[in-house]
Amino acid sequence: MTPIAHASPLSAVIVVFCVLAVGGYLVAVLDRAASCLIAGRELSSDVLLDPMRSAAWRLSQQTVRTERPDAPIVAIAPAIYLTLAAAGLVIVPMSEGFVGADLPTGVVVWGTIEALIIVAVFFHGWGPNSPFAMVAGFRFIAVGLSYGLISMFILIGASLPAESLSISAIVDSQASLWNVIRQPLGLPLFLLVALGATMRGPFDVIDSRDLAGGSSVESSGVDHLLWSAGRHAALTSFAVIGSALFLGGWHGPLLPGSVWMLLKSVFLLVVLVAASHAAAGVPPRRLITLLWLGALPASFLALAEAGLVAL
Amino acid sequence: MAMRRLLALARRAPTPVFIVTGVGGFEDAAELRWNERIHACDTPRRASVLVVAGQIRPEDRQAVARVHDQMPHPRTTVWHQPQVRPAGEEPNQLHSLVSDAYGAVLADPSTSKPDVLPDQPPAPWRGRGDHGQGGEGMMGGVPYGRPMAMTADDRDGLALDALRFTVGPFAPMLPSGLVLAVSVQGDVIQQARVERPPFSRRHDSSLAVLHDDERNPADHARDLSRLCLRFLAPILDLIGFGPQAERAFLTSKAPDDALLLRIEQLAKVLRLSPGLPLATRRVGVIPSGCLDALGLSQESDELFDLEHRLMSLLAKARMLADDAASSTAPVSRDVRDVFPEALDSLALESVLPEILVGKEWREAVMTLAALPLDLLQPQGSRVRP
Repeated sequence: MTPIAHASPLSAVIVVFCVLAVGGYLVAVLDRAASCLIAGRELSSDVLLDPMRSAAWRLSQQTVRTERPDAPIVAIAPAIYLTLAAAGLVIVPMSEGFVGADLPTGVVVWGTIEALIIVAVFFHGWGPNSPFAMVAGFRFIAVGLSYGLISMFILIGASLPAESLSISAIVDSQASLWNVIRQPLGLPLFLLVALGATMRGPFDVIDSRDLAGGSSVESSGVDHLLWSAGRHAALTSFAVIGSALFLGGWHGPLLPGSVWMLLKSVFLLVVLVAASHAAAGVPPRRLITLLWLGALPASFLALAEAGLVAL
Repeated sequence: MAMRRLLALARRAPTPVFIVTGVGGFEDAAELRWNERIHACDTPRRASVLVVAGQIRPEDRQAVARVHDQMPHPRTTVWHQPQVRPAGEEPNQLHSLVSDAYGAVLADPSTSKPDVLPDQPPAPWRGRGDHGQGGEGMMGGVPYGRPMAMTADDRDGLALDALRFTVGPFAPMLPSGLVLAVSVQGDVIQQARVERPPFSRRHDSSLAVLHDDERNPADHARDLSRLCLRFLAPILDLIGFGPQAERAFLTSKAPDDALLLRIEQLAKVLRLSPGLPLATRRVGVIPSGCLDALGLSQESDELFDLEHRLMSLLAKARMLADDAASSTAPVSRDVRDVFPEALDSLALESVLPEILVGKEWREAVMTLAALPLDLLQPQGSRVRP
């Protein structure tokens, strides 16, 4: 295994901040581009500039407080989401020799981050003291448990070939063969969890139109800007971690490792955004049934297959 | 200085609006909703411009004021009374008015409109019960006029908090005008009562042009086809297919000679959406007893669900455009020959609670979307057999 050097704390913070900021902005741009293409409109420079303009609009809006909110919870929910997205990036090697914290239990930490996203979303729904937001918060608890279980099995599966829970070791174990080929079910299920945890596409039953925005129904101004940024940043984290766990991370010919990581992460972001626009929102009861009776057994299979291959 | 630059940048963003649709305002609301430089918000909390399109009932005025007061500053309002346009005439430029109003209020935030209603609870504190809120223990009661959750038996024989609230008349997920009083346990509707029916679209300009006797049968068929697409767009939007919904609306505005081709392209886009059957099949199924009460005819083995509604609208749009293109347009000029499912408002009010009770909130919303409420007849009128 290649020894991994830790990045200095300052450079790690700078890289994580840049990746989240650029990745989050890219998600907003890709969302608009996908909308234009599906709607049959022509792409224009507005696709690139509107996320910035909309951010300026939200910054200039008043942040309205509801009557008798759980104020600390309202304030920390977006902060938790953003912090979790950043924490996820800290444990991923961005290139050979550059990782914020090369933890021997990296995939366990990532699993914990996914579980804590449930807390952030529930807080966001509970805090404002509003019926639709609260229904959204409880909905996410109902569906979030299945995301956690699915993720646990596929993360264990990804770590089996490396015989290590360290993300750097998992990347290193893919030098000759990527996990996406070794474990064909792993990446699709990981992307499913990514869409679910960031409440997009068929899994958008949380901040959805049937609840007038769901957990975000009462969000305005800076609060909503931070919440949207958190969702976009979390999607970016999923794309980066997904490329490390299943697409061989920095491994690739000719180009530097960091460029391969960038290309693979952007590719996964494009796939995630396209998938979120291709599928309509599934009703919660049906979604939970599909997750427990379809995706969860599939994640068992993925783990069994990974175990057999590792043997 | 920095704030001025921020506001200047914000002015160039798509205009964030919350649209309140009244009688006769559906067409203009749709034009606004799908304009590319307009951002139609799901909640007034994120809108800067309140647009009231059409006439509202006197009893809905307070609801409009409440929606207005929920909007953050800086904010402004545009009242718009649509007029029936001669067939073929382009709709007015409401989006320009709205964008100008948005630009003006951002240019001078001090012109932001103040609250309409006083900042006080809807009712006084009751001062009854264990904690004074009128319930039992720390639950229940109606403190300050706002019902609190109270434990009640649920459908599984367990006890779960029941929450009562009223939604509408301008909730974005419900048909405009509909006011529902509901009691939910978790996500499931336990009780529902229609307090006010949805608005009829009979006087909407998109329907009015269909009664223009001067039009030839091919144009008439094309108008009906366009109408189907306009009914289709909000359903797609509700299931999370915003861009596909926009495409449906833009297709309805396609030139005559390109209409059929664009409909085919729309059908292809929808076919390429793998989650569509998952999101709509057997969702929002209307019980057969309720179908009879509503006067809806049921085909032998067809389910009256969201998928049926979507696909039948798309099929009708395609058939009518095809008829128009091949000069075999139907001679009928009556919209109800093409849409025989027009509902009676009175029947709807009596049947709606039965349809909604026991459904999860999202499925209840989808069920309402599956009903052909676009063709709602005013109270008391009967649907032609």
